[in-house]
Amino acid sequence: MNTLLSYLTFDAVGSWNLWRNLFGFDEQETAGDIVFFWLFELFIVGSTMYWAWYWAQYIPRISDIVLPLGMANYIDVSFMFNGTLPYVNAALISGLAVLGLLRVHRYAYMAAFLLLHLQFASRYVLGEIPHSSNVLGMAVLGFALALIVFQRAAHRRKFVLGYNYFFIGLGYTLAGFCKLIGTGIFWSDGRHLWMWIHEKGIDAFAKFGVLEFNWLQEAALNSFSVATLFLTIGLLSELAAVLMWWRPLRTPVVLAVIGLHIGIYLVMGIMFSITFAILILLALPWARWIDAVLPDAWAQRIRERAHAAPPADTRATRAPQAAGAERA
Amino acid sequence: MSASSARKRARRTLVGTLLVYGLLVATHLGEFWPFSIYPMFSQGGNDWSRAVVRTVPDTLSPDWQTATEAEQLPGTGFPLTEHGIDPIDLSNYVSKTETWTPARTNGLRTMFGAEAEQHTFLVMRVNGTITQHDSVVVEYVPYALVRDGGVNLNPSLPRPTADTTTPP
Repeated sequence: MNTLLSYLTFDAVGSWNLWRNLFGFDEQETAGDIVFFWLFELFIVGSTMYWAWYWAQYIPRISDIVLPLGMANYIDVSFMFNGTLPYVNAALISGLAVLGLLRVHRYAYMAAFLLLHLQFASRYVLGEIPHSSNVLGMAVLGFALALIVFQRAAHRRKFVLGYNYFFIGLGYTLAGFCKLIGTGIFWSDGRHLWMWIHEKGIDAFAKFGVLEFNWLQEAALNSFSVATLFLTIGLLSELAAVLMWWRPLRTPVVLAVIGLHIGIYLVMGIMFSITFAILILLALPWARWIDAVLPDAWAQRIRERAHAAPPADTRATRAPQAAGAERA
Repeated sequence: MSASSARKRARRTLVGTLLVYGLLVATHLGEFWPFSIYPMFSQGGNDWSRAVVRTVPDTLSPDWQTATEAEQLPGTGFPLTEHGIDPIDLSNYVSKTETWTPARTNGLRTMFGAEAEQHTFLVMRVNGTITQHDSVVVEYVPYALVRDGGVNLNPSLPRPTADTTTPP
């Protein structure tokens, strides 16, 4: 246990160069890195399927477009409102995601990503602009670009993880700046939180039919200072998120963002479950923990297997380069 | 491919994505899934508007009067999530509708699906404001009575005039 806990320290790379901190292409991969990536990819593929089917179930309830988003600004997505097309699209997305996972075709993830965008644009036309699936969408796009741009599996793996840290950090910091631009430095005024707690209380009332506040909400509603403190901590966590681009700061910064989500859940009742799960995967040193528990013989076999076969789709078209390619 | 050329490709791909990201959010009010500037909760202290639904007796003839306490509401709370309706969708549908055209009114009925064949619903818009004395005031405004047979709208809601009427 002490060995495992000792890995919960800053993961230093010995350099502040952004690209080295994000990608580390010249560093040796361990079996734990490879296994962790497989699990991460499996999680993203599974989540993509889940959302595609989840949205498909809701789309037939829609009959009118209130606010078009994404590609719905350019094409009339009402053709998706019949009973079967959303399910056909979900099946296509699932199939393409599996093809991408199995490395059958290097454009499979990109096609899945574009169809997932169509599914999203068909589902969210009623005025809601949700952000619960944005991090997942960026992750799918990262996998899609990795398969198209890189030949070597190790490069793909490192690109995907660096890409995710980059855009997750950027997203939270943008959110912080939006608050400073939208309201100014007094965004942290506790009275703002009172309004949002009541607003989210009404949402819960609509969801469950019961109107009540928990102890943390009551604490914020009863004290201007407590409410202001909550908002100040939240704003600072968002503004600092971009620091996760640098590895020495990554673990504490991602943990702070996870803390921000726990706070948002307790005070506002909002939980972005898929974003939260991705953050948990990216915050903790899973690869080091896997290395610590993996027998040496298994680790050896995993490294050999990961470096054995070239990606199927590159064999025919890129034979010369594929000679040194690996199985991602 | 060497580590340095991989780094160059990664940098180009990242910067390319960033440019597309910036272009799309700049031209689409900050949102083009999965790209976003994440503007949620950026406007502190603004008034808000949501929606709640009450299950009411079939015989109810609403007086369309605004209430200020949840205890004053007619009927019982209808838990939207349990019945597969997204409360945020409903809130947006109610609050962002400026003119209640027949198509928009039918859309409200469609959201309730088969549930409206078994129950009568009172859809209420809920408005929140903060007073000068730093207290939050919540108002419940009845908007529509949804039945199997159709939708009765609050008479004060804006309807299409002869000039703005469009076919459903």
